[in-house]
Amino acid sequence: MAQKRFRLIPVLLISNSGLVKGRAFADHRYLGDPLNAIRIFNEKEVDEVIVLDIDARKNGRSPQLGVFRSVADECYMPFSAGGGINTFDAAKELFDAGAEKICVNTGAIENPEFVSGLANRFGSQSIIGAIDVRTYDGGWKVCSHNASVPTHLDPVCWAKQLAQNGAGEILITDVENEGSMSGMNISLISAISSAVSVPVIAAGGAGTVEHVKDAVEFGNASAVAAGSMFVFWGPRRAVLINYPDRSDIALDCPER
Amino acid sequence: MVVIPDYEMGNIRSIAYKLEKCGAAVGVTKSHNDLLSASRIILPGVGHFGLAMKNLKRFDLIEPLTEAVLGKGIPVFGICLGFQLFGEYSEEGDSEGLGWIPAVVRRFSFETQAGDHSIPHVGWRPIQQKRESDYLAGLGNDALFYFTHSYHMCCTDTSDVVATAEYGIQFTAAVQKGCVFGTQFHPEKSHKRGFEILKRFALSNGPKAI
Repeated sequence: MAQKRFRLIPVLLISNSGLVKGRAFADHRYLGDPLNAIRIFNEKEVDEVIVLDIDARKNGRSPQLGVFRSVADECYMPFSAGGGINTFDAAKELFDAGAEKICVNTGAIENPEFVSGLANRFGSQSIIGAIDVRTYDGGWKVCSHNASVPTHLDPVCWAKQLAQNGAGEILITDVENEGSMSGMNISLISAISSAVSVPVIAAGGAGTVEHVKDAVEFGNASAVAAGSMFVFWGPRRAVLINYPDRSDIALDCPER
Repeated sequence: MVVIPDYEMGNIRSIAYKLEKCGAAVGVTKSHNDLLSASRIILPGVGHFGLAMKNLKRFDLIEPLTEAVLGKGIPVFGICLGFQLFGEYSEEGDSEGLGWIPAVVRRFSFETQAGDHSIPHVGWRPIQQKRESDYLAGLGNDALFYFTHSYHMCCTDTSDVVATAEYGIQFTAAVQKGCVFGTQFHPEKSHKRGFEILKRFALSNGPKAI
């Protein structure tokens, strides 16, 4: 049996310079200092982290550079930055701060050519096309502005479009499942993975190692991103930064 | 002083910070004098090869860099795009490189089904050391390092290759030719092992000049 290697990525949400976590993009609760979390993730040797400034889009500004600079300094692993990015300057400032990649979401929906411009300038491997998906009338739709505004876009078509425009990875988040820790939307993940050739990072609903493995094994995700799973512990959701042992997330798969 | 040429291709700050954590004095500069008087040079880089060469030209950095490295033998460490720039040519932007290592930089090209070997190659891979290098010694052949790239360096002289990694094909993970050393992976993002490589480069005497 060969072992399939996949990335398991903590997503840290930043609000008012603090680390927060909510459910379905709402009801955020303050957890502590993001840098403490980063230091613990260094010790755990996590694959990479994604850090999102969730106030940026709401307040119509670029991500808070101060926080991202400190995060970049502390990170001994790759980190991706996101939140309200819709200009080249904002992107460049984040790369200069030390971000390996940036996540573009609403900025790409408002201006699809933004992604091709970013990819030409910074390289596809540093651009993550982030897609937030909600179910409306039984069908999937992409939504923007921290998942508060529905669009007419179909997530599969939009993922293809983003990849074609130069996004090097697709981060697909099932909004209603986000923070639930109850399992991931395998059919959504699988639909996106089979539509694009770039790596797909699946997010929304991971609460256990089994959920994560399902997304990789059955959803064909290249990576899984999660928040709650890495910051909460136990049924009462006590705040405890944690990350599974490498041996617990190894996925056996038959040689092809 | 460990000098990082500022050619505005990102990723400088986190490397500078980590070098300082190693205990090195670090300067980020566009000055020819700073480059020529450096004890070490680090050439980082994130982005597009063609644009990187254009920026190096625009800031008039190619000549002092070449003089510092090939002329004065100041050890240089290229990281990711900075490492690829050592080559003679890249398909990315159909561009000439610095030409310090006889090599061309080619895009990955796979015929396998989607999902197996998607491009860019992003993730942690073990490296296999091909020959001895002070910078990599003792880090073990199963050590994981972080890669993110769509292009890889194909060396004309395989003895320049100190380590390889596998992604569909065996590709160059690290090169060393005289005082020129570079890694396709990101040491500054590769936890303790990567930090150790940076530290060895920044603080040790390193290999002698050509």
